[in-house]
Amino acid sequence: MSRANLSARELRLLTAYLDGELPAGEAARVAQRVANDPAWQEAYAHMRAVKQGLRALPRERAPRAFTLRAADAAARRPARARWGYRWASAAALMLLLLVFAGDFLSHHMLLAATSAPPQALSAAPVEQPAAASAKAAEAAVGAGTPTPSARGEAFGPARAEENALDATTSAPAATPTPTPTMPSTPSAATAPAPPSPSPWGWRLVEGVLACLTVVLAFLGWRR
Amino acid sequence: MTEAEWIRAAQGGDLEAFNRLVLAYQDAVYNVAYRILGEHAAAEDATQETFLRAWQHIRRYRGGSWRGWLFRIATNACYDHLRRRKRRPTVPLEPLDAEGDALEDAPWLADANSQVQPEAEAERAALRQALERCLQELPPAQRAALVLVDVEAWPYAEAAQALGVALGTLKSRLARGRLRMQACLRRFPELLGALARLNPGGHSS
Repeated sequence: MSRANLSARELRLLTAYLDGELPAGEAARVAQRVANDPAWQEAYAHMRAVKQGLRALPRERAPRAFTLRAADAAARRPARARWGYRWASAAALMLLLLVFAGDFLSHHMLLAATSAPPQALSAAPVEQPAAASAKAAEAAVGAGTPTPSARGEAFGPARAEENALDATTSAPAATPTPTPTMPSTPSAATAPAPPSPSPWGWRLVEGVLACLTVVLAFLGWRR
Repeated sequence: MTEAEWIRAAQGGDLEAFNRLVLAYQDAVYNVAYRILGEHAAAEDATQETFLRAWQHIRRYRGGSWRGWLFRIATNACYDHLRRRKRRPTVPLEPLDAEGDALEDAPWLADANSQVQPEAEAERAALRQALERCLQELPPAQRAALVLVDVEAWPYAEAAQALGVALGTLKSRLARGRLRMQACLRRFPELLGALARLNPGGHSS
């Protein structure tokens, strides 16, 4: 039929001619082809029949008035609200990813800490009480213990020995000797691990954020 | 007031002025929506959606063809409806025979007046049904082009604006759509004579 004989470009030309959308010169050339070429004539007749048929279809009238009421007009301003939900959903998703990362890292740090050698585990807590006891000793010296020079004058024969001792322990803060009030090494070994949120706490936060992301995404993209 | 003044007033938030535009265009929007969607209920939804969207975005209208701008919204509303329909297909109300084909001569589908219709009128009604059916079988983009240019007799420039396409694309869609229509109408050979008689004149444009 007409499709086999006319190229796509020729059919477009014929279409525009039928609709009166060609410039005068081009329209005259197409009119000549239609008058002299049976393939063009046939294609034109079919196209025109379709056009006339569609043009003759009855016009449907609106079944009611589509005027807007003030409430309709004010009620829906979806575009802006929709974008608000979309951004909020994206923010909730980012937060969820951060919480996941935090959960993952804290979990692995805890694992690393519990699998460390026992000395390392017991050495670390000891250092803190030792430093604390040194501070306590220093406070005691400031309160009532005489200075090395005063002591030397008071206890004559023991002075040289004590002075030697002072020279080696000129910084009393460094003395590792625990005072009776300070925690001893065994109690430090049983000290609790560094604080971290419980696994259930992480799960709860992640669950809430995941739900929030889904709900906001639904509100942002629903039709 | 002129149409341009109504538009300006509506852009300033005057709902009354906007409703005047609605009343002026609702028949045309509904008719286009019905021809694209093929269903009254769907056309009603699309028309309502069109005017709601037009009101919400009327400040974005920057002059030019108001009709082209409004029908751009209308055709988009129709396309949205077609996409939703594709996702949630509904069962047609046509009765089916044993093989599942549509049973066109079911007694309850017959027009109450068909018995008293003169032959010519019955032929026109059959031709209208055939044209509507063939139109619905077209791809939506070609159907929308034919509805605006053939059914509504719009010029190309406005139709291209309403469809959001270039003039060349519009011409291609029209040419392909008309070819498909004529191929479809060949399934109704008894109606081709009636179709030819619709335009007894010579070449026209």
